[in-house]
Amino acid sequence: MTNLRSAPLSVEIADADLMIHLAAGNSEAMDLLYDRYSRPIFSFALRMLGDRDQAEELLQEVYLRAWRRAGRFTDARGSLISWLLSITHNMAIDELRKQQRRPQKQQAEDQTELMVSLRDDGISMDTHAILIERRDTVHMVMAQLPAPQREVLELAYFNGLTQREIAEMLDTPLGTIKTRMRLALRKLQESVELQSLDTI
Amino acid sequence: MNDYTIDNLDTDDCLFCSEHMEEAALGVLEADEREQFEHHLSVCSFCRAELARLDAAVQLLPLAVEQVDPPPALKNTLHARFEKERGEERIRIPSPRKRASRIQPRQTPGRPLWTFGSVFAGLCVALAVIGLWNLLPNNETNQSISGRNFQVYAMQSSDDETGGHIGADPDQKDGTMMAWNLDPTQKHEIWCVDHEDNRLKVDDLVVAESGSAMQTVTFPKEFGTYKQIYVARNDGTQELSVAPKDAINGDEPSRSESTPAGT
Repeated sequence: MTNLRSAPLSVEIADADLMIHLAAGNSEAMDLLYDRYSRPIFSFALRMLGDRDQAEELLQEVYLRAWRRAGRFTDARGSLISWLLSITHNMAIDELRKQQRRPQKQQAEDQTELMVSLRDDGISMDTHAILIERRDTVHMVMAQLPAPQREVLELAYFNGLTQREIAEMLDTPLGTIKTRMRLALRKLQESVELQSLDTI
Repeated sequence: MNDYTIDNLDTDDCLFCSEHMEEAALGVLEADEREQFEHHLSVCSFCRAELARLDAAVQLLPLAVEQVDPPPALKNTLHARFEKERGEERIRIPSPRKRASRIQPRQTPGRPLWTFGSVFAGLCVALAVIGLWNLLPNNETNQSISGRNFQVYAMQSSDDETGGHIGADPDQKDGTMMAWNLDPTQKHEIWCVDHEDNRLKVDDLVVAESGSAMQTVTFPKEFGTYKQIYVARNDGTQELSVAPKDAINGDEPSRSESTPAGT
C-alpha cells in the first residue's frame, strides 16, 4: 500500500484521487490542487472582495479548509472546482458581512466588463474545454439580461447583499428587486437547461 | 426522512420557500428566513429539487468573472502555511497507542459518572445494537443483509465506562458508529490508520449532552482495508479503537461482537 502522505503524484491524477492524498496531508497534492484551480478561485475571490490582499488571504483559507475537509469531498455530488468555488463563495460572504462593507451602486456598463477572455494554466484539456463552454454560456446569458436584472443578480451573488439591502441601496421597492432577481435567475437556469449543461 | 407527498404538501411552507428560492440559491437569505427555509427543505423533496435546479445555474456564475492570476509568491506562502499547520495537526493527533499519562479523568468533581441522561442514552444505543442483531439471520454477525456483509464491531475503550460499536460492511466505505459515556465538553474526532500507518482524520464525532453519539461515517476507502479505526479527544487521549482486519479474519471474536444469546 502506498503512503498517501508522501506518495509522488502524477499531474494527470483525477480530482477525487487528488483529494484522498490531500486528506492524508500530502503536500504535493496541495501544490497540484493549487496549480489546477487557484486562478478561478483567486479571480472569484477578487471579484467578491474587491481587494487583492483580501483575495490572497481568502484563497489561502479556501485551500486550507479544502485540506481539512478533503475527506468529505465526493465527486458524486459535483465537480471539485464547483465544491471549491462554493467554499470560496461562503467564506467571501462571511468576510463581507464581517466587514459590513457594502459596495457602491455600479453602473451597468461597468458590469459588462465582467465578460472576458480567459486562460487556464494547469487544468487538463478536457476540463479546460468544459470550463470554456460553460463560460461562454454564462457570458452570453449575462450579456442578454436587461441591465437592472443583471445588476440585482450580481449585487446578490458577488456582493452578498440580501434583497432588502439591494432595495435600500438602489432605492427601489423590494417587490421590484424580487421580480428582477427571479427573472434573471430563471433566464440563466433556462439557458443552462436548454443547452444541457451540467454543473461545472 | 418523511418527505412530503402530493397529499400532505404544506402549501404555506412551499409558498414561503418558493418566494425565497432565488435568495437561497444565491446564498443571501436573511438569517431568520434561512432557518425556516432549511427546515422545510429537509422534509420537502419538491422544494429541494427546485433549489437543486437553480443551484446548477448559480454554480456557473463564478465563471463570469474576469480571470486574474494570483501573485506567483502566493503558492509558496500557502505551501509554507500548509506545512506549518500540517505539522501542528500531527502534534495534536494522538497516537493510537495510548499513553496512560495522557488519560485524564473526564468527569468534573460535581458531576456524577452516570447521569440519568447517559443511562438513558446507553439504553437507547443498546436497544439499537440489539435491533441490528435481530436483523441478522442465524444470529451471526458475519452474515449478509440485503447482499451486504454487515458486521458489528465492539470498540475497545480506554476505561471501563466508555463504550462504542461500529456497524459496517468491510467491503463498503460507510458505517455507523455508536458510542456512549463520552465527555460532551470535549471535541471528539474519528481517525483511521491504514496498514502503512498513515493516519487520516475521517470526521468529527458529534457527542450529545448525554455523552452518547451515533452517526454515519464515510471512510475514504473500504472499512475492511484499515488497520485501525479510533476515536480521539482533542486533548490527545484516545478513547475508543477497533481493528477491522482482526474481525474479518475471525480470529478475535471479542472485537467483532457475537450475537447476544436469545436476541
